[in-house]
Amino acid sequence: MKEALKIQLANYAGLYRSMQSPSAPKPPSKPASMEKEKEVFEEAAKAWASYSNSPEGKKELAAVEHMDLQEVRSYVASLPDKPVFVKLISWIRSLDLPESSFTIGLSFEAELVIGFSGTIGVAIGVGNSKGMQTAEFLALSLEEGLEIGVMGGVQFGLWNSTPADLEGYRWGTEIDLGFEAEMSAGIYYTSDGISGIAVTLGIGVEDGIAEVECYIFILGDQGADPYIKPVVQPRKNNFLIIESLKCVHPSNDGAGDENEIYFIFQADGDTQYPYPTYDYFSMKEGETWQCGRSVWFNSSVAVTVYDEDGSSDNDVVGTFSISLSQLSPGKSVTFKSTKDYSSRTDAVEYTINVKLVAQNVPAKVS
Amino acid sequence: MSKHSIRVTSIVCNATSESGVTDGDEVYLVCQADGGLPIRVPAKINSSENMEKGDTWNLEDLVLNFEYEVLVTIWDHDLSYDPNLATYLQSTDFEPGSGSGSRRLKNHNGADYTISYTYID
Repeated sequence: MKEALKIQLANYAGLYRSMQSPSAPKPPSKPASMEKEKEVFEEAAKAWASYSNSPEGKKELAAVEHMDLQEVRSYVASLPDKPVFVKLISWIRSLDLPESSFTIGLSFEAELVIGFSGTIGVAIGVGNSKGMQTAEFLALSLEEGLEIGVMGGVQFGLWNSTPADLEGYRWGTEIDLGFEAEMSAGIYYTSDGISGIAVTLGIGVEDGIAEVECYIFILGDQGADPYIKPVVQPRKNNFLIIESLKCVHPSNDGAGDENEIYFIFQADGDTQYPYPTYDYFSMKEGETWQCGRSVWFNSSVAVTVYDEDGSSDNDVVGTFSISLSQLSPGKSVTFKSTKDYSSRTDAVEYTINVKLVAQNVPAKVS
Repeated sequence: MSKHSIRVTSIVCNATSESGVTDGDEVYLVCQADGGLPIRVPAKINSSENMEKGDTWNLEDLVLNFEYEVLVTIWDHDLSYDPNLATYLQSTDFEPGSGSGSRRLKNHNGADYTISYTYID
């Protein structure tokens, strides 16, 4: 599983953890008959076996290991267009099911600061919702004691909500649907009663789902840049603070005497983090922003400062390269932009002050 | 392993930012210790403290535990829960030995807040 994906998912996990979850409703009793649903899941498992054993399926599933969230999302969104699933979905729609969505998702378990497990998938309208637009989702559960970062299991679900209305809390409890194949099943519910049934093939089968609380996020309904931005940093050997950023001379962007500043920092060529995480901070000539941005790194940190000008093509007004060898513990060091803009008519200039806070930190802290 | 803690006791609004659709700022904090998982205050998504000039937000029991540093960012949110649409107001960070006191945080949009804190250990 790609590190960037783990970090992206950890940000959703952090958001989920920060929400005050409602108390779990009482599990509903098992519906009298789930024969139709069972049949759907058995056919879905056959379709998945056919896809995942095909040369195309093998290649695509192997590629998932190297995808970030946007790429996994695009991949799951492409699944309903594969011939084997086109056929499956068309058949499910012909069944006149009481449910409104059918979902196909990839399950994973990961740990980054906290352990979490979940599913990235696509929801397709069935029953009365056939013809409705599909939606990609992320269903997350927080779990203690996970040590692995793997993807691979596949989950199918039938839900009472339409694809666009899946977002929200669900509680799940394991049920026995009497499958012959290796599948674990659970019914999911809210305070309004049963909200869906899901089955998982592959990873985690032996554990089943027991009792879980999860939250389903619908991905991509938040405009052009829909994702929660990365914030959580993996621990590395060293820790520095970008204490401040000084506007020695602002860029002349034709919109007043202020620059709308944010920066992107990247430790050791890994994930790029914006700061502030969203939005910007306005600065005028001679002003200093006490930004206090801490950064974990092993050997170097690259910082690129931008003047947000409302277009996608924001101006770079400073680039900084910080190496461990340039720092000493507790001392503030001033860095100048590696690119000199003094020959420009506006002679834009920003500097940053950086302090090394900790060095050779043990990798795993109890 | 958190070795240090600081208690943020109050946020005072000396002036609100000019942006936003309602009177005053809809203030919330995001606190991140040692680059780890951020904590949102108030915890509930889409919740915030409505602050106008002269208002004091007394934080009941906001103790931040950290090993090296904790970064507190102050935000003004609009109607949507989407953090992509939030307005960054300012930030401040605390290290071991930050002591107790207050800091004034301003921006060019008119926001002017005082954050008070007590260093615990």
